[in-house]
Amino acid sequence: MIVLGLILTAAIGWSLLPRRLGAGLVAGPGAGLALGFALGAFGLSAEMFFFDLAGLGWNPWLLSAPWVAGVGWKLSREGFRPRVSFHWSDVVAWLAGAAVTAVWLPYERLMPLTSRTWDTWAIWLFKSKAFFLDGDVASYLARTGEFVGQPGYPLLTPLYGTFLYQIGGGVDDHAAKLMTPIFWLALLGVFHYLASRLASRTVAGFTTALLALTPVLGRTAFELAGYADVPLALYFVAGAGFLTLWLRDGASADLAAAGLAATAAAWTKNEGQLFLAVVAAIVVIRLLRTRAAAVEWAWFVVPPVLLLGSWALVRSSAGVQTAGFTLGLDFDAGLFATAFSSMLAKAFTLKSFALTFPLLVGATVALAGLRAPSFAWVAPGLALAQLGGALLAYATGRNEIQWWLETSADRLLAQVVPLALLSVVVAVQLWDSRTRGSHDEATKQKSGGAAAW
Amino acid sequence: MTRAEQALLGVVALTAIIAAPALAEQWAAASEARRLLAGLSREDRAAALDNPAVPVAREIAAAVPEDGCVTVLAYAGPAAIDYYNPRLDYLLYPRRVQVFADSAAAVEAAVDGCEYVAVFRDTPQNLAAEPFAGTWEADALDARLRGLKKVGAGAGVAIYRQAP
Repeated sequence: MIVLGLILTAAIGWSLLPRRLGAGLVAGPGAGLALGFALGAFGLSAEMFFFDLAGLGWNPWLLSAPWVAGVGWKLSREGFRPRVSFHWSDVVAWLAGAAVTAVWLPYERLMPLTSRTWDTWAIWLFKSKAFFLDGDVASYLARTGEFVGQPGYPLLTPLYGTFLYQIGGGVDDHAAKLMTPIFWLALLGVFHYLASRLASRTVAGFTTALLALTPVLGRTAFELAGYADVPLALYFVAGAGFLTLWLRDGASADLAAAGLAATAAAWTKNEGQLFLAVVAAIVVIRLLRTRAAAVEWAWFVVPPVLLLGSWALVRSSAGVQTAGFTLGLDFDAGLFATAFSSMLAKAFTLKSFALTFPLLVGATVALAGLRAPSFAWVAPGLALAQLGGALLAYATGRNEIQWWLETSADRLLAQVVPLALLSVVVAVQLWDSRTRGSHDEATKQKSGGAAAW
Repeated sequence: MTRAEQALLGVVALTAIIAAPALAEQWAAASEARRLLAGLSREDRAAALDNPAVPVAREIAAAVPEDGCVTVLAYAGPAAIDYYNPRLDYLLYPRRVQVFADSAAAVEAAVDGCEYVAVFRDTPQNLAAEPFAGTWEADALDARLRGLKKVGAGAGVAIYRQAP
């Protein structure tokens, strides 16, 4: 039944997607299911949070009702006409994704939760279990003094896990942790969709293969199933990609998607709050410069204020503090240097991250050399901001630094891998568009690639 | 393909070569895990890989009601105690659980109104890797436990209920 819940999430989310996102491609079945899963998991977790606040409980049929009604309304207006398109480079991405899945999935399905997957049962699925058994969020928050499980962390994956338990009719953590490999597949699909809009289908196919083959990202998705880092990576790249598209094309739907993805990132893990802040700063500057209408502001401002503001109120009223760092106050230069050298070494270890971070450096140099327009800097800028935020956390935290780095640095770098590869997409497209003549550009438009460079 | 796309295809090929050993290593690890675990039920796999936390939790769950509170006296090393505390919190939720490497906690538990006491000794392998470093007065503990009602036992754990 939990597998049915995962499928239902993707199907409902796909059905609710606008037929055309921004000025770009229609999402085909693969991208549609990927975007749909990202939207559905976020939407269901937010819905559960507000249902709980309103005292409506979590009956799975009641939870599903607004979604089913929305799908029915949309299908009655637009019909269901999925557009299937194929490009030969997709085979490269499919092969890479299939190889990694074939190697990892049987292992993930065999392994129960053990001491090696600490965060899954101590934090994320602990809350799912507690929320499901208690029937609300408040009962767990009232008992947080008893547990070590970071009660202030945001609730996307815990509440989505609770939804899966509601659908399944009981706690089944082995089934629920399958959500992380599904988030990984959705990450590949969303990345491919965004890369197709930002560059050519060929570039999208190749860079999606690079994403699938990054060793630590695969390990994080399957061996650490139940952790929130892969969902976060998905919302990071969705936020960065749609923001880049909005800055390039100016379509409101892309702004709304960027806002939802950044909100989802902040609703997934604390690292997402820095991401949302940087995205918000970029959006606000653009909206002020263009003297945007109120509705444009509303697209971006309402979701985070409503959801994250409510969560902050609930959390603080229960006396639960969120983990974070006080910028500048506790800064320790020695810790910063230790963290910097350790993360640098890890990032450039080929067997861990393959060529991802050398490619990020190359993309950044290329963008600078090609005098890239400002929208092209979104993905590398956000990647560097997240890495900088991680270093500040290490430099201002009070955990034993070597232990902390060993247990978290790989995952923090894995969160940034899609952003790094999206930077490559943008740089390759810019390189192509600068080196090709107008004839090639026209040919490319025919083949469905982006042309606004 | 453009020159940039050709270069990117080269990067994909190089990445596949770099990633192949890690995938092969994982394939071997998965095969070994299958050899050891494939014939076991999901619950037995959990017990085999997370011994003694899972079997101990199973015994406690059978003896302590969901709205109950249990004080676990664990003859185990310090890091193991740090592990058993959150692990048993998770496995036994919504029961209230507290884990101590201190036999005197059985007396304190009664004062706190925590009505169940579980006593367990970590596995010899775990104790060999990390010796016990708490306080364990066996005679005083035995005397204390004699006044309680034994409500469950197994998997190296005995569970007692304080007199109402």
